[in-house]
Amino acid sequence: MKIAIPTQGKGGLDDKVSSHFGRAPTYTLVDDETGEVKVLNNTSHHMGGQSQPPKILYDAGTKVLVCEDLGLKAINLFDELGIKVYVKACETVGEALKMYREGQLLRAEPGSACSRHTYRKHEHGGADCGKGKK
Amino acid sequence: MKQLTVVSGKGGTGKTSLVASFAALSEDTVFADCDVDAADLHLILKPEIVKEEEFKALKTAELDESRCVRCGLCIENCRFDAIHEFKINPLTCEGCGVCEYICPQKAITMSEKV
Amino acid sequence: MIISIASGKGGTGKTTLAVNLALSDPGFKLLDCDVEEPNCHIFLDPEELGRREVTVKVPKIDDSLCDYCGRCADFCQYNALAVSQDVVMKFPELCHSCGGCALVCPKDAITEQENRVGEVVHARKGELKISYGVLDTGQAMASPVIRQLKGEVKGDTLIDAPPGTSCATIEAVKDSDFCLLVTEPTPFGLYDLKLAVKMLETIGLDHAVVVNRDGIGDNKVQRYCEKKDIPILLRLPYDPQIARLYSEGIPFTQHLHEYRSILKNLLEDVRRR
Repeated sequence: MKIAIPTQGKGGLDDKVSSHFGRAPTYTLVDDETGEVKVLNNTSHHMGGQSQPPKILYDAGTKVLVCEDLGLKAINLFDELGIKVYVKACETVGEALKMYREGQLLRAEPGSACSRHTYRKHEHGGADCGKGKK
Repeated sequence: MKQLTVVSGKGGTGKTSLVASFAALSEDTVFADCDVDAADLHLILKPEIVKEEEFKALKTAELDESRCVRCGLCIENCRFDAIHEFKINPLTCEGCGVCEYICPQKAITMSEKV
Repeated sequence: MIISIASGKGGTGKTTLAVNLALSDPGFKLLDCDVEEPNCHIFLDPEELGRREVTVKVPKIDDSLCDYCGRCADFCQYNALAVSQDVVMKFPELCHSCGGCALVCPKDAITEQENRVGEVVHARKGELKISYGVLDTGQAMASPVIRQLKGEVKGDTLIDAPPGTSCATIEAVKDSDFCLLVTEPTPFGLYDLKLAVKMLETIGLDHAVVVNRDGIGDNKVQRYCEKKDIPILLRLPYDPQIARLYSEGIPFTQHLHEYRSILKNLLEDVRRR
């Protein structure tokens, strides 16, 4: 099953998770059955190109999106596309995958998502972080 | 990497002044003046220009009068009222491309503008 | 006659001027086209007469006819559609309602449906009629609301335009007979004024300047206007009384009667141009 993670730099297991889903320069795609790692370039209009990030992920066969946070409209769209979204990931792709596998992340669904009203500093172990959560 | 965005509902409340103050106090930080209608931050900070890039966004339609037979399909189909008497107003044109698509004489072309 | 009031810079005093001008001559209707954050009605606390929804057309795809060829998405200049092999993704906030997708669809699978983006409110304060537009929070485009607002109001009008120089401002000021540019005598006032003048010259709209908070800053705005031969029709002084009344949401001519004739004369001056 393919898991996509927006990444800050050139992608890969050691690259850091990007805080911005739509404007991440790359999306690192990991097949959790084969272990294969692939990097997709963000060629969407956000980066001066064409089309939209959800299409890039959908066309690559993504079934799960792991990210730090995601806006409500995007959560709704991914739900329609049948892609599960998990938020509160941080650090590197490798670490984010570990958090996902250990159930430390929060599943973001249309009904459960609420819009942010206050900014909370990302503290590891805090309300906005999956790291170390059970 | 942390990003801080300074916004306000109302204009003239002091966003630019506040950001400029942050700039004066901070080290190793990138400041982006996203008020593209009227960017003012550089007036206070007086930076040295390192690079200027052209920004090309939407296209504009251009009508070749030599090919035009005045059928009027472009005027009929333009949702933005940008074509009058077979002249395209580049300010009103939103670059959608419908006129180029609909013109049976291929008299209209879309080109990028800065 | 339609007089618009604009500025490059925000917070220069457009709304303050527009409201006080309208109060000095209720023969003019007041139109608040700053639809992202209309403020005129806050000064006036008018009685509401009615409101109407503003909608724009967005594509609706018939799944039974669509074969996911993607022609619609390829055509769309705004990335409002994305098509994969078995799904069409819609991004209606990016849609410019051009109708192109419906035209190019080879299967006629696309029709247009109305999508709400805001509303227009008509109100009254004594003799003064005021109308304003409100863009729904989260909507990206102000122009459709401004267009509908302007379409619903006829006759002598004072238009309070949004600040800046982009689509929304141009939509608000275009087709007016004259534009008053409100500025402040500071480096920012000057810089943004120049941008606003450039915008008005590009659309060919006759204009003059009103200097607000006169007395602070420097004389560069004055020198610029002289050089460009742009008349300065009014200077409102930097006056703590005006500032205090403004901060309390009170139109200053209500208490500072001496300004009433000054503003009435300004309107006469503009009428003659």
